Amino acid sequence: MASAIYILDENLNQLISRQYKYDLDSSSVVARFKNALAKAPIVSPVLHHEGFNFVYLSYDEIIIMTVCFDNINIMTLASFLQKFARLLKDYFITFGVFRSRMEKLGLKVKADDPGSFVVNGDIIRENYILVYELFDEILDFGVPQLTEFNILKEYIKLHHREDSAAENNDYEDGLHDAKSSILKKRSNSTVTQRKTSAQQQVDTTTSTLINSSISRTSTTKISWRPKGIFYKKNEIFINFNELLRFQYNLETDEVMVNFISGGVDCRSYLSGMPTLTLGLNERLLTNFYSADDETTKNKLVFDNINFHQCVELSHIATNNAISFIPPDGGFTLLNYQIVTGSSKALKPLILVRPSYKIFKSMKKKTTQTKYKLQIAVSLQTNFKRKYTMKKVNVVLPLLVRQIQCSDPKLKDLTTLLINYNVNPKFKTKLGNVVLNLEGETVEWRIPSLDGGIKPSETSDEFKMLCEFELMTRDSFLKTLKDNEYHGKQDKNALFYVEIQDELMKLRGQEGLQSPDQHKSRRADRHSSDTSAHDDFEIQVPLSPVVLSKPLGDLVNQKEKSLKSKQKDLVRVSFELTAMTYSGLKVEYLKIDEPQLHFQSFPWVRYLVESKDGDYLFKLGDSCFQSTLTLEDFDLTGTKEVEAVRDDKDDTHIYDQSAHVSETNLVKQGNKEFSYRGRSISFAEYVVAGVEESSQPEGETTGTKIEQDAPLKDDMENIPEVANENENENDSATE
Amino acid sequence: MVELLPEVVTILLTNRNDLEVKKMCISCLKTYAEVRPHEAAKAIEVFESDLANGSPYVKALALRTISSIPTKEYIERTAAELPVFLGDANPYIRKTAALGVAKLFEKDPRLGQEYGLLEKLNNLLHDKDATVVSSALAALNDIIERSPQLKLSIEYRDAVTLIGLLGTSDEWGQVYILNSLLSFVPSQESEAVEFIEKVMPYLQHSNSSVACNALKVIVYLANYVKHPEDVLPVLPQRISSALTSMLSKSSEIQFLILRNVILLLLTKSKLIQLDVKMFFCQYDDPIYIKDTKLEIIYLLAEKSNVGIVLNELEAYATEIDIQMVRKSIRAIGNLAIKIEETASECVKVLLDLLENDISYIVQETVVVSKNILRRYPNQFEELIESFSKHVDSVEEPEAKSAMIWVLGQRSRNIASSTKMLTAFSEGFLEDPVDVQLSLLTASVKIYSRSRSLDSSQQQGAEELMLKVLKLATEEVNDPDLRERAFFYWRIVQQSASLQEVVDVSLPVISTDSDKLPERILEELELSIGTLGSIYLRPISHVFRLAKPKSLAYSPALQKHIEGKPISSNMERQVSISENVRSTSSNGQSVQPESRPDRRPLIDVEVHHPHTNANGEKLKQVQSLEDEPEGSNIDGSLNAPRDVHTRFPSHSSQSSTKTSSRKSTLGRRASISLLSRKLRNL
Repeated sequence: MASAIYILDENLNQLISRQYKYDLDSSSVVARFKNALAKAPIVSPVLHHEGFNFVYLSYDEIIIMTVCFDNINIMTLASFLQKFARLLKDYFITFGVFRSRMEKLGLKVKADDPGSFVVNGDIIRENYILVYELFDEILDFGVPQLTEFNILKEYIKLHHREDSAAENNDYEDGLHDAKSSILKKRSNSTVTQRKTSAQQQVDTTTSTLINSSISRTSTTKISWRPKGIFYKKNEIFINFNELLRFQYNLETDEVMVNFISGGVDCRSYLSGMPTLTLGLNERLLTNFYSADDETTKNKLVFDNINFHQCVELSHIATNNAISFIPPDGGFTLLNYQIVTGSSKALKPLILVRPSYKIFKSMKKKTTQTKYKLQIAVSLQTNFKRKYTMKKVNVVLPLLVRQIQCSDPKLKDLTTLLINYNVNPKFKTKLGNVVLNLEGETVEWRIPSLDGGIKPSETSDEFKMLCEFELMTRDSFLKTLKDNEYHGKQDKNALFYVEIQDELMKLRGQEGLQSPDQHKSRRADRHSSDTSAHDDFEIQVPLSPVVLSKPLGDLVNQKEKSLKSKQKDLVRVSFELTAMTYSGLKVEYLKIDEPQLHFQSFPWVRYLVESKDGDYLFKLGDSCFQSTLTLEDFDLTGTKEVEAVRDDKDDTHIYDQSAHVSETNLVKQGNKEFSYRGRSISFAEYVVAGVEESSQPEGETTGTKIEQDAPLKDDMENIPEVANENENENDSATE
Repeated sequence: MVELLPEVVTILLTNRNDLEVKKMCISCLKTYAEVRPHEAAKAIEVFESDLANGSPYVKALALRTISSIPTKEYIERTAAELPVFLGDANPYIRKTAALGVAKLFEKDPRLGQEYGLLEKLNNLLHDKDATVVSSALAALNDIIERSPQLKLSIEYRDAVTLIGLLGTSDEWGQVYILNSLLSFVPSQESEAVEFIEKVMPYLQHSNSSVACNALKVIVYLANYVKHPEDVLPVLPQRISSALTSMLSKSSEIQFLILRNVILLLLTKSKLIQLDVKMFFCQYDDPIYIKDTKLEIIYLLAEKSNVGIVLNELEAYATEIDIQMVRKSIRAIGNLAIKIEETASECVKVLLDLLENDISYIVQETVVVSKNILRRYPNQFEELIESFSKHVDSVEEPEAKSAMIWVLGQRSRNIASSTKMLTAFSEGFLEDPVDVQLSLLTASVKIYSRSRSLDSSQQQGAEELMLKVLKLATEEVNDPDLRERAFFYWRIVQQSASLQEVVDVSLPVISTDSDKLPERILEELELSIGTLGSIYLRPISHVFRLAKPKSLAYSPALQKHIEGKPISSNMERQVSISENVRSTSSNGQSVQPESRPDRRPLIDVEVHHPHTNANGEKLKQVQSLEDEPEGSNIDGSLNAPRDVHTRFPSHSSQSSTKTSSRKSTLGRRASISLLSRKLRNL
């Protein structure tokens, strides 16, 4: 197995290492690893370089890397690295390392939110003794030993020291330091006590005593549960969580993807060595375990299921129930996936039907023509009335479909843009509507939604209507030119030009900030970043067009390509409690503890969830309607516009439809048009999400206009959007 | 830091009871002992006293330490202590000792041999404690991989015991136990089926490594079943679902499993039913996953799903990531060659892509189209047509030579081919050799055909050819190119045979050529989940010291690959005779108590009188290999087959270069275990 294990920080500096075999020269390993990363054509998690095999995992902000020379069982090593990383995190969470760090840094500690805890180089450095001890325990001669946190925490403890300032990375100092800290600990050693809650940390009396008990448990059959656990109140919490991935084609009215990824998470606070037997609705399990015969067709079947190591695997098929001795504290009992085809029995929980309509309205008083975009959305829910969907969030993309026009010359002129100078109008009885300029979306937020909603023509109870005013692209350019002349700036200029420009700058800097190629190649979670670099390298000889652009633009293009794919998708997220989508249920739960015979309290909870971006509705042509014809366009202003264009004889085509192929964008990106001495390119207008840039919070606020639409029927009564942020931005730019 | 070692040793000597300090000191000792062996040796007494009267944990720690330190004193100490602790009452210590044996063998195998540690380690395989068994297996595995003479073989009954232990061991233990099942050779189909059924539940384990190793065992055993997919209809579904579930794990695991899916598709495609849609790339997949998925999509493509596959590939081909674009275009091209029916659709897609007129798309499309045009000699004129539009944008050498080849080969259909080639010849001297070679061939080819054409064209072709030949013979330094030019020149002079030589119908190309040879696939299949399966290259190429693996023969074995096995029989036989000789010269004979257990494999053959030509041949070799002495003392030919269990027996095989030290190790490391027990029963 592995010859050595290394922990590196983000910049590939060695933090700590342990050699298990003596078949390598440890001093050169990290340098070779860097070399291997730099030379590999595709940076995969397994690298072969000059006879060295590197297997690594980047986790949070550290990299755990192992070296080996033989044809070893790589799957085992990879799973082991994952376990080890998780183990470290568990240690740091349970023993409050993150908490005290954050307190020291003056950050607010969110209660029990592991998501905010990040393992980084500093934490490893500060807790090197723990890491060394773990290295000793978890691997012996490169063979994985005990990796179960529940057991390990009983005898490798973290004595988090307050005086970490006095710490030094130096090994020798470390030794003395370790010694002094131990002496300190000795002086106030505490009395043994059994812990009463999972988070409680306990110190122990003599290490010999506890260690001998450990040497026993680690070789017993049940390696995941220490003996002698006692709780006053015996409870077990069983949570059924289902995460849905769903895609629906509104054009063909078909379910394209319907994927349930479920898991049963438990928290066990039970005494002794209880054996639990969990009976689920029978048909699900039996169907999975029996061969494909006629009766199982058309029924819901697990496509896959896997169990925690505590589950007695051989009993499932025969007894039709899951029996297990739970580890103490939290664990995932089982995971399953269900892929339901389009014809299968499950109906989509919620259906969203938007329709986009572009029309022309003439105001009687003025002769000016106005183009408008109206988006109407109706909802349908397919679950029992007694349940309630919470935190429903429907995100609609703001698409102005390009109006088809046969003459390509006129195509430019008839491209419509949303006119943000005029405030949009929203109307709904349910929840509120928010315009998100940054993602160019409208979000309809509904706090709670009942089951069994049927779409109806007459009632507008479960509907939402919003209206935007449009302008032609050329009229926009014209006003832009005018405003520049007068030294004014309106919202459209701000949105279409200024903000994009700022974003681009930020990105450009971000892209250039990491000149070190190794650095950005290394981690896969920066994969988009990485591949952008890769692109760059390859593109250089090929395309001078790309070469002439700053690196940041390339990053942009990459992000954009990701984003533009989602452009014609309506995204929905929600939570639904008290039921599972698959229909999985607990039939019974038996808790059997041979000695203690305690009374126990099982708690079961069901949750169906869909995160943003997982529940999608694909818009089709039938969702778009346009009553406009070519005659509707006022083409008299063409000549003036032509003059504007003469500044730079090539004006860019702004294509807002989602179907722009990336290759076209590359070309279009070259066509520029100037505003205030800056050259801007419309192709860059599709904004990527903030989360993908390292943009500070403050920058985004300017781009977001939020408006809570009151529950009023009357379109006329909707208040104007007040936007202070924008005014600020105005003054700043002037 | 090394300078501090004496101080650390002093701390260690004075703080014997402080476990935590001790651990830190040990850490330091392990790192620097090699540099200062004498200083380090002073600390040995601490561990000696710990071993004598510590708690189990302290004992184990001391044992682990002394076995880890690579200096002479410690190695000798370890060898002396290990035999005692291998039989310790505490399983934790036995487990530590088992791994200690592996550590010792890494440093000094001879010493380990002297103390008879291998036999003791073997005894541990019958331990009641699953963790001890798995540690012993891990240790044995390591030792065996290191020494070419040893081999683990497991009999039916022991395999059953091992499977029984699976349920009671922890996840890492399960990995090693599952792995060891590869040393069991089922003698009947029913045994293999039985074991597959028993291992199947472990496909559902949440630890991917357990699931993957279970898969490996199943795939291995399936070689011994005639139609595994008919005997066990649930099998393909279960395997596929296990693969699916591992695909929802972290991207590192995904990558590993995807590489193994490729391997399975190449070898055991009947055992898996995978929907190609599962492998469509997610936009946030890291590049290495996309890359692997692309390969799988290509492998899974067939007539029935080619529509969606092409759609998907076309989408990738317009992505922003150039590497991805190139690979997907390649895949489209290869698809056209792999499945004849889809060729026209693929060509349509390629034509669409050409429309974009993006440089790198054009380059790649030209390259793959060349293969398509070669595969289907008289079709797809439309490709050529659209080529001529893009002649100018062809820049890369590979694309250039592909383009030139097409112009030459299909000159009949391209009116202006001579003109275009002449244009290419302008930059002849600056082009790389590949392009020069193809231009040379193309110009001669055109010339050879030009006789049937009108005079102006004939003249153009001749001019072009003369120009190229002149340049190639006079101004180019590359010997290959020059020689080929001279060669053409001479044939042109004897004009009669020209067309026959340069313009013949080409052999049909196919995609089969990129398949790996069966024997290599077999070896890779036995290496599922290991590094070799990730690289998908012959294991001996990557790991020079790795042992060759192949399916052991048994009457139930379904396939037999013709040809020479990776390690030749000759070599083995030589080594055997050598072995025998060294045995006698040394005067050391096999341990008496193990003798009755060693029975030539010929016995088994009697019970399974199923032979064929190949079997006959193999059988002999096998029996020689496994039993150099070839002595069949008790000759109980009719004994029930349960009785002659030879649990970890070992066969000796060594290379001709085997040193004397190695043959000492190899000589009758007589491993005889359960058999002894069984006899006592």
